[in-house]
Amino acid sequence: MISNNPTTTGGLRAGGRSHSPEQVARIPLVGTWLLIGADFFFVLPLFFAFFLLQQTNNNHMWQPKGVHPPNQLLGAAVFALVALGIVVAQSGLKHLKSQRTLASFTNFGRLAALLLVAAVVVQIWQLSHVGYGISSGAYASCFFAMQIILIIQVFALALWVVSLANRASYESVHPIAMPGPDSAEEVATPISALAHSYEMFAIFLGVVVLLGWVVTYFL
Amino acid sequence: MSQTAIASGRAPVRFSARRLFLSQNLLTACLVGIVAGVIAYWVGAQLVTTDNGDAGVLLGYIVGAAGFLITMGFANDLILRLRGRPSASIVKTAEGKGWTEYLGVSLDHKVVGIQFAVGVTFMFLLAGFQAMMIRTDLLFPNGGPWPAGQYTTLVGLHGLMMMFVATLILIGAFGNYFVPLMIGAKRMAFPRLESFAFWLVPLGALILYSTIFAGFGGGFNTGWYLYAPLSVEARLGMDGAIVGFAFIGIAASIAAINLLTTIFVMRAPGMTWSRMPIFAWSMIAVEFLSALAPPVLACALIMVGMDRAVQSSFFEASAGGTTFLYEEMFWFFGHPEVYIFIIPAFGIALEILPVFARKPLFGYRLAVAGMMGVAMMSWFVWNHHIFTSGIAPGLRPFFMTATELISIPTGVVFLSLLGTLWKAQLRFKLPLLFVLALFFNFLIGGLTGVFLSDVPLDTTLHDGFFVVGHFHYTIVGAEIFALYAASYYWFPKFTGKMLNERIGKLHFWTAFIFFNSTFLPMFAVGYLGMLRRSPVYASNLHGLNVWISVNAFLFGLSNLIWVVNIIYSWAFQKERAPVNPWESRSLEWQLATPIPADNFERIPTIVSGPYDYGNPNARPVAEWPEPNSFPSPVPAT
Repeated sequence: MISNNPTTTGGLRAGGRSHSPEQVARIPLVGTWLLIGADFFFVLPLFFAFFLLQQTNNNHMWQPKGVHPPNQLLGAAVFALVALGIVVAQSGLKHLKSQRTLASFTNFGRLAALLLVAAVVVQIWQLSHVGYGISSGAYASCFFAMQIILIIQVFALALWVVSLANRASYESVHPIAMPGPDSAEEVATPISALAHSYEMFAIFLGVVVLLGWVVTYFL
Repeated sequence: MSQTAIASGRAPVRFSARRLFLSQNLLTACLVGIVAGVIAYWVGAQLVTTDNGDAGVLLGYIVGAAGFLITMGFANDLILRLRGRPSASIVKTAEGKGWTEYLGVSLDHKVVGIQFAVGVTFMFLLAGFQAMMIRTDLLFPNGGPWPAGQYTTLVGLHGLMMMFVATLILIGAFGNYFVPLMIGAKRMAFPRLESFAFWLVPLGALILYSTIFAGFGGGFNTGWYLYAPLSVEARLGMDGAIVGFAFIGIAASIAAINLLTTIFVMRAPGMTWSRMPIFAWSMIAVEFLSALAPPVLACALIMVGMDRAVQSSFFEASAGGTTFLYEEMFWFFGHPEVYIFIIPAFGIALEILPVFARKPLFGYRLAVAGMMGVAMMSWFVWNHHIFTSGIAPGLRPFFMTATELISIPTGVVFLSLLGTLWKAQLRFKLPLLFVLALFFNFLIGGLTGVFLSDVPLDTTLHDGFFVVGHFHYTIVGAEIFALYAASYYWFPKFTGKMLNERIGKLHFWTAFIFFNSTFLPMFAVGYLGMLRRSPVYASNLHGLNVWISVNAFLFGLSNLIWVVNIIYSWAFQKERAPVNPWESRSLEWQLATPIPADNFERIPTIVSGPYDYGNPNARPVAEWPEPNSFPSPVPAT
């Protein structure tokens, strides 16, 4: 038997046979903060490479003839779809607060995932129609690398929100009960904690996508 | 409940992963990995025809690894979560699977800790054997048995493999095994990720070693840095080095996120920051580096892979790139990496010393601040590795000063160690001997580091054997000696047996003497101009090199004594160790041996710090709620 209610027992569970629901709920939150830190350091070199190679402009091959930033509107469309996906999921989060409205989040979550996947599709289309390849100088390398890495992350975000939507749908039909303080059963991570983790990462990724758009399309 | 389990004193509760439709069998996983890799290699070679086959090789390694990991069962929980089912894989089953659980995915941090210990020790011995091959070559001033190209591959393999070992041996084995026990947690925060991090390690090592076979590319001749443009232009073996290195980086990062979350969230009630064992503090300091630095390396390696496979131009100067970009990214990861090696060694020394000094740890808070200071400052010194690579001269004073300043928090840690030794009634057991040796070795390693941070001296000694001597004094002299100390100290808790004292003393004296007689002369040959990564050297250095090689072989032999001791004591020694042979106050020693699968039947309340030695009125470390199946805490005297 597993529980999604972090408020029932209250306080840390000294002498209990399993970790308290409060502790279990904090695990994904702390983990996500650290994941955001790691991801920040993963994308940081992409921006560093962009500015360093732009300034160096070795052999005048930063943007050789025929290479230029792609259509800014298409880039804006990608960012808008990502932002919309994040906002839609965000606005559905309030439905996670009660068992009765859990199913409503499912619709918000699936719509958000759809928007994020649409952003991925638009970006793939754009990358394949940009008119030059990854080997066309330093700008092209930076542009392709950054956008490919970002859309992979956006796709992962879509899968994350789908999992939340499905979990909400499942829990609306199968409520998860709480083990007693003397039970050795594991306490399930509450969906609200999982959703909050998703929310933090989604906002972070949204900001990175925005920065990626500004840097590669305008600078 | 299994009668066998009861008789062995081992609690029968076990974690098991849900099987779903994937097998979780190691042999099947290997087979699927190989088949998937071969198919992906063929597909990659068909899709990208403009390169030298790098796309196929890279794709083959990555898809093969994914096939292996999925078949091992790592996708099961993801599929469950994607379907919206709550993760139910931490289910206690009636019995353990015996030794076979060490060959699969385990959600028990103790099993993963032992997997790390055994797996990484094996890698350590393998990389040590390569060191012997290097020293064999250097017995001859004009090149030994290996051709020059193979020699550089050998140096690269040794370096890269030892980096894997040094990154993971203390964190993976001792961090995973003991930190949850020390802080009163029943499990790790992310048990699946913990196991995933482990399985990336043998995979990375296997991929790395596969590069030496001609069909896989005939090795890589860039040293462990994989510096561009060499790495971009190197033969196919480089692709394996890139993937293997990236896997280890990812493993380190995942393990770090897991361990940090565990410490932040899952401490037992009463385990305040000031009561936390110093080893756990060292894990906090190091895991921030380990979580954040490897992603930079991963990104740099992706860029190298892209330059090789799809001709992007990050590092190709004629196409707009610059090799300086790689150097900056690599060392931004690389210098914190050095402290990923050394901070856990500090933690182990600080953890062990008070137990054998029988007095409180001197300057507990200072030591914590020192380790945190080292970790923080390690982000601001990376450019000292590239003083001679054409960085802006104006940057040199800053990085020189920053590097020299880092010796201050390091000195604080030393002060804490020395203060603990002051007027102590030392018990000269093996763990203490190795800690004292660590002191001596790291003093030399640290001081020579201060010399090397100095720009004029660095310009002279750069890329020579002085540097080799310096970093071996820090990594082997401190970290590996900490590994020895930790193995003697915690072996009774790992296995329920003591390591043999007489063999251990033989190991200690041979290791300490031959380590120093190997690496101390390296400062001399380096000062006299002998270069790293070159199989050829001036004939006047022949005598010193023969001396170094002979002592290196003897140092290698001392490691075999250590391994023999472990095997002998574990497998053949009949006498069981006491529950708490060192009379330690730390929480892990208050538990039964072997430790129950669930760690604590009931989570204890921590009521005092772990270092109140020598105080007859000290409270026990924890209050154990009833019913309590564990032995009473050992009185601290």
